Amino acid sequence: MGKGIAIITDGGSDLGPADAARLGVHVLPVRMVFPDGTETDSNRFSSGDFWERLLADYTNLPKTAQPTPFDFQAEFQRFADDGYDGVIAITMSNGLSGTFDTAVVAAQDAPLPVRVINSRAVSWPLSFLAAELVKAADAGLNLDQLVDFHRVLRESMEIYFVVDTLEYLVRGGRAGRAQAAIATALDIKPILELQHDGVIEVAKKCRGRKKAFAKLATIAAGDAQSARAEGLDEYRYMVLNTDETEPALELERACLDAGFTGQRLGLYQVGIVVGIYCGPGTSAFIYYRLPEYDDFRCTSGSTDAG
Amino acid sequence: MSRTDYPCARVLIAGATAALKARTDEVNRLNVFPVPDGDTGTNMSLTCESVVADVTKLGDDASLTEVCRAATHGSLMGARGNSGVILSQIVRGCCEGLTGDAAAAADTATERVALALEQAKVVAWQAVRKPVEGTILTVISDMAGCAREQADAGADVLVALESIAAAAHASVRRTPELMPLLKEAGVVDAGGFGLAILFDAFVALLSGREVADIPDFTPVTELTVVPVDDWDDDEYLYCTEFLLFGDGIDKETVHDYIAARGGSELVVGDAGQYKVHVHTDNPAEILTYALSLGEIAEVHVHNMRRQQAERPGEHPGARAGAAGTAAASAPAKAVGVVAVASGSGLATILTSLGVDVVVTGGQTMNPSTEDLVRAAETVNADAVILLPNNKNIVMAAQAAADALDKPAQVVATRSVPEAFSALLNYDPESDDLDGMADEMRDAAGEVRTGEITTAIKDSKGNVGTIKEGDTIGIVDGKEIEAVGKNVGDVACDLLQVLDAADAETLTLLAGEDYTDRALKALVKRIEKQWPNLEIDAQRGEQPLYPLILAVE
Repeated sequence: MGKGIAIITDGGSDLGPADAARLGVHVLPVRMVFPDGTETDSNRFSSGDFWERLLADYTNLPKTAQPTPFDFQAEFQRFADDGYDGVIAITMSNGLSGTFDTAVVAAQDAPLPVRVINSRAVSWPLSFLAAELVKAADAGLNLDQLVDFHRVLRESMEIYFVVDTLEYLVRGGRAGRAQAAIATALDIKPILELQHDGVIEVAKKCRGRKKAFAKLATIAAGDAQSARAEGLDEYRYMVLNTDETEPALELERACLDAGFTGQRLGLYQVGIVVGIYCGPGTSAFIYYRLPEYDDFRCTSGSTDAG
Repeated sequence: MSRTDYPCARVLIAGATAALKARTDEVNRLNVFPVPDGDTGTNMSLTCESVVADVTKLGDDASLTEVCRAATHGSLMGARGNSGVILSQIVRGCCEGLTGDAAAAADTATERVALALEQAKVVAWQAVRKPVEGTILTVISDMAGCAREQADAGADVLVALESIAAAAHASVRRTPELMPLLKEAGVVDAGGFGLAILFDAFVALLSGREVADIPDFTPVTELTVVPVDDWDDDEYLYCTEFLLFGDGIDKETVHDYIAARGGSELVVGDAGQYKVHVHTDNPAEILTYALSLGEIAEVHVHNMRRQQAERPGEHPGARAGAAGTAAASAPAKAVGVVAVASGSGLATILTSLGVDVVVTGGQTMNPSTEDLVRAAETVNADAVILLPNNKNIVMAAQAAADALDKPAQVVATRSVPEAFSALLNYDPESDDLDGMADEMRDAAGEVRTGEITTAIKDSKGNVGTIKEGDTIGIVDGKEIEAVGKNVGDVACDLLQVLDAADAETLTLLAGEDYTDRALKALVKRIEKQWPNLEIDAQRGEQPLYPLILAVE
């Protein structure tokens, strides 16, 4: 037995070096190029730096670059050299970025067993999916069991966010069918959902932020209530903010006041990869249930090196 | 056959229409208390003109049946506003009465007149889900009652017609006694007045007296309209009609039986001969019951959803409508939307929310049923949702929905802001028209609207004395809840009435005469007084209403 399974994700997870170390997740940092040609990466240019700069001058933001297959190969080689038995590469949603395909290409020539997972998530939800995989791997699940574990975990995860304006999503070409909602002359605050299939969809259109928060709270509280009624485990939830914390905290209060209950994972700041598309003033509410590890131990006839 | 044959009928109808048209302004003026509240006179005139147009199209050899069919069709397609739609039902009833079996069997012209008016009364009352006395419905009832008395007394037809005309005027004067709202305001009903003018002119032409001799009807003080907008949108599928013959049949028992199994139920006739009419989902059950009572004949079962599509010549001709942008070139979708509004800003916002066609119209210009039908027909969709955005247009929208040959639902929005909220629940690809319409209704129901305009005459309301030129605020298209000297003050008063402190969102729609500067100042003032409100200020560019506001 070697060092077990390494879990690596991409920069779409918003994990800085400190958080990554705390959660035990490896991160392929996001490379960025400023308009003047200077380069940096997400280890040196934090989420806070990003928002500060975005609000100061939208035109002077760095462009993010997708990792190359070579970047992944280098990581896989390093894991092999360090004595890991296998790798889970969990990427941001295939519906939002091509990183998944890049990782799949890289995995073909990897010197150790690799499973590439399309997280169908992004930002902190992706980070926590990766972190839960770390714990599940520590609990003894093998590579294929971890793939199944992720699938069930993601199925239980609801990702809702309310953007202040759809302008950034549209500018970045990431609005999808949400685009239809932007054309309105009215101040419409849609509740967007990063669906289980990894695609952004309008869950509900509302007049104004308060209406949107109230509606989202009703949805979340309803889910929590059904979960309680079915005797299921309590939800774990997180709240995401962008440039300011107050709207996100207001959203959290709305959810709790509406009757949502769960174990709080924390308030986290969205970084550049998602932030460039959602824009300032965005708040998100995410909740999921942790599946039982034991439910996966006897499934999937696995043959890997776990 | 009656001597009221086609050439004569055409002249009479055209003449009566001309007489009403000549007094349109008078009826309109009576009807605008104290804001330009619809235009009963115009609506009724336009409805009649559509009848004239259709009847005129007939050849000289047209039969009474053909004239009646044309008049029925013309009135339905031209029906505008509540009064127009009810009038169209009165026309239909008259035609049914004139061409029915009973009229064929009748031996006097007076009897046929009575049958016509009685049927008109029946049909008109059926048209309104919650009929209210003191309206045009009362007037047609009184006319029918008088006609029946005259027929039973064996009166000459001209004498009878003059008596009925007099009864119509008397009935109009009596309307305030029947409706407390009218009495409080010291007014009579405008729709009933329009009907009396029409009928009086009709009789005057027939009897040879000058139309100008029509007794001048001066209203007690001023007139108002109390809208009756519960157009009977039938939930039953089959219109079942038949004649029932049998001794010892108790009409009330039959009535109770069918009423328990359907809607729009009707049992008329006597002396062992009855006409039964019911909208039901189970015609077989009704007919089986009828067979247990006696013999049946003339059984007609219509699928009401398909009926309109099957009837030949039902589609409007080349008459110009007020329909706005055509949407036929738009990509096909499951459900399209037709909305009524006036004001370029409102139209732009509605279109941005997914509306396919915005039909120009509103408080002072109610589009006709035909306008709405034509607009809906240009929408490239399998089904259509109609948003009337004014309670005076709800009935025309319902009539249009019934006349369309594709599934249609009316979401009875009373204001444009209600339509905004309803449209947030609109999905063009929905396969559940009825369910979506319900969601849209729920959303519209969360909105409360205030409309600010200028009083055009002195009056009294809930808020005290209103002087001509005062700025007034109307809540949900019904009551005047604020009076003042400027838009800003009235807006703030309305926000108090609408409990803005408990609301989350405020929409402000600036009319064409309300400046951006005034709007900005008002937003600042409201932000100060209600810091919790999220304000969405837009230019609606609507006429007559400097400001429309909505909270939810």
